[in-house]
Amino acid sequence: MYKEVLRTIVGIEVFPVLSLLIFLTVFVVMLVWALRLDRRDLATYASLPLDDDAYPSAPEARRDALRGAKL
Amino acid sequence: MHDVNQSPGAGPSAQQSAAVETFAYDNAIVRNFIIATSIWGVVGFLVGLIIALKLVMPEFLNFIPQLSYGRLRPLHTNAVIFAFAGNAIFVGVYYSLQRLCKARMFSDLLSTLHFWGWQLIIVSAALTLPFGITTSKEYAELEWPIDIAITLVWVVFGLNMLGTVFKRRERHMYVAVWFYLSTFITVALLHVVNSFELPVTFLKSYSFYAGVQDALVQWWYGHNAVAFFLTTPFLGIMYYFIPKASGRPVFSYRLSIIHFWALIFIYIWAGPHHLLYTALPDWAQTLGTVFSFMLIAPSWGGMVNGLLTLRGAWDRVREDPVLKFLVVGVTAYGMSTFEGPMMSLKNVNAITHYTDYIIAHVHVGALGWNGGLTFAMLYYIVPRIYGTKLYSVKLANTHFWLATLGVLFYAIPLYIAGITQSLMWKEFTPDGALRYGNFLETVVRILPMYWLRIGGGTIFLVGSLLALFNLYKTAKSGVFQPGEEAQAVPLRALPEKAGTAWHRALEGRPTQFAVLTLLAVIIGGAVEYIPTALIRANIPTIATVHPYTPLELEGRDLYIREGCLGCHSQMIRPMRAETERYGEYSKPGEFVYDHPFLWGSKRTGPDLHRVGGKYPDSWHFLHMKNPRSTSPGSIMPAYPWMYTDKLDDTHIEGKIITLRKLGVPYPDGYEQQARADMQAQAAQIAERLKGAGMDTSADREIVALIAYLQRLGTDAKAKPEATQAALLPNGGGR
Repeated sequence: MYKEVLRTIVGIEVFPVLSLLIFLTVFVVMLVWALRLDRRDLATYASLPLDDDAYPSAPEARRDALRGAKL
Repeated sequence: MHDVNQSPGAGPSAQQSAAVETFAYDNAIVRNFIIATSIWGVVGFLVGLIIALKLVMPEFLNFIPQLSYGRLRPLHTNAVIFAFAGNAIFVGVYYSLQRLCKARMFSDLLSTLHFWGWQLIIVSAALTLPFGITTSKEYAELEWPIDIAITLVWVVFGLNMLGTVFKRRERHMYVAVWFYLSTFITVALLHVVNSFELPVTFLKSYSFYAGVQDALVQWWYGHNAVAFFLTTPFLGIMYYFIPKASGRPVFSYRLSIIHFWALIFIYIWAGPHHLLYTALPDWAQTLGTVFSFMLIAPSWGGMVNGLLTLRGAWDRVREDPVLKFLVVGVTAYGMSTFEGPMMSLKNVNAITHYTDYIIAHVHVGALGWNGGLTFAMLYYIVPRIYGTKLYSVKLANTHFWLATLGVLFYAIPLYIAGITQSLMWKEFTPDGALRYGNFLETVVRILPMYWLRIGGGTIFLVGSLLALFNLYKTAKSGVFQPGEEAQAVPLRALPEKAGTAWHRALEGRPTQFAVLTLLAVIIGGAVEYIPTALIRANIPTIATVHPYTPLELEGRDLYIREGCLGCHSQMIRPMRAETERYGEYSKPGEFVYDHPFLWGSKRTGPDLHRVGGKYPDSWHFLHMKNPRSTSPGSIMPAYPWMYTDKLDDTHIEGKIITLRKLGVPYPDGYEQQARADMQAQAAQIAERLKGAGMDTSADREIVALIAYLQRLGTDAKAKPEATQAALLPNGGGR
């Protein structure tokens, strides 16, 4: 019965394929990008909660500031 | 906005110190939400304990309608989800977001509006639900004016959060902030879409959707409320507080990124697993199952990431109640997120659905995961904002054991009860009859488990009271610091790094990030919803199905008011044990005029979809007055007020007009005739009752409820010629 119902919808056969493609694309793109992230950056980000009382802020900010950034 | 003062600071260079800003974190709003979550938590647990007692002692506290089980059950779920967990979310967000962004909240006024707005919503829920003012849609029971208020307050919360993110002094948005943002965006989307309803009066509305569609939208919402209200914000809390409490960075930040995107993208597709074997199209059920099964990967990825953060710090877990609660909380999360995918497999779902197994499952989540993380957070924050130490670590450890044992004593008996009852429902004798043809046999069998659950709930509640006492004494022993001073370099003072990876650029721009998150959750919802929306015009119509008569409609609204669907489903699955017990399985075409759908999700009593015509009117009359007179051992409460209260039919015309607007084919002008038809049908029922020796006035509520119950499931069985009489009660032979 459900098949009968669904057959009345134009283009219904693309739905499962479309779902799979959308899902796989998003997932693969996300995975590739996550794996290409810089290890040192990740270490910095991971330490953020531990750094939230520190001064001036994240280590990279401290680095940038020390390099004579235009403040 | 909080004033930003320039401070000479004590930086490593003069240039830098010129840019250092001094500001103060807002602890007052955090404290307010802590008080709210503590109080509402106890209220929620207490109401839970009351309804657990009602399940073994049906007449316990049943002297007024406002305290009947059907009305208190949604009060309990709403209190725990939105008042306890909701306020806990805001504690976590307001505390950690400021520190992760190195900025005070965007606006103190918005914070205050958010706090009081949310508390008013909770109070309005507490004032409406016991009075039977409900839409009946689980976890979305609140009526339309409150729905609008929720939307406004949620927007205030979102603006405040986004504003804080925009004015942050830390370039990178830590993963916890992603989880908070996705919570705001997705809950807004879910709430708005599921709350489409057409008002009849100030406190009564009908769902915009009907039947199968309404069920799909409701469970897309219900499932994702678990995902984006009870999971993602708490994962944000986990990613902040586990590192803070253990003094170690998160185990793998890369994993946390994968965890985030995979979780929000997959979760949204999985709603249909709440509707397996129902009248929902097969393809949608399968889609829900596949995605639910995949969900185990990101969920367990998150759990592993949380637990492995403690590597090398396990010795501290032995002493620190904060870490203990975090570990048990995350473990309970792992348990729940293992069960979820397993129960989405159709063969497992066939056993667990409608049973107490689900109740156990959600309590492992709510008490173990949400409760565990909330208490850990409270034990961590309160001493810090009061500049003191926890009043009693020993008491907190006692609370930890009470909470853990409470969850176990709650869940394990109910797992056993659920499986036991389900197997009893399905068992046949060698000659092909149901072994337990009387539903009550399966209820009486599990009552000892219900008593054990009461024990578990009580233990958990006692632990929570200890926590409240401990936190109160902690606060008393310190001095509250409404503004906690901090210093940081403003973001604008930092140069853009050349060659920034695009993800970094993305997370540096909260708007784009928010849009991508929204897209991720919309895709899943759309793929699931669009085909079903298209079905609307194509649902196989059953010629004999027609709209409810005015009296049946009023009876249906009483069924909603009394929360009957909390214990009775109206969805017979296509399984031999079910069709044998209840009759022909439910078809999608039978629900086309059901605004809202009333399929239910738990069978404390039997399914009612084919109850129409099964018993005489007099049986229902006796049963509602004293359930044990017709069903010895029944745990259903009595409804004496329905025999004395006159049916309020003031709005029948409005109801007919509203439903017509929603597509129910009442003829034009029928509202003029509705009252007369209603009285005629009521008189017929009263007459039949009188014939059976039961004297009642035709204008009582019970008469309308009987009319509705006697109509249930009869359309599909009716002969086509019987329906020619359309709406007239004397035509259909009912």
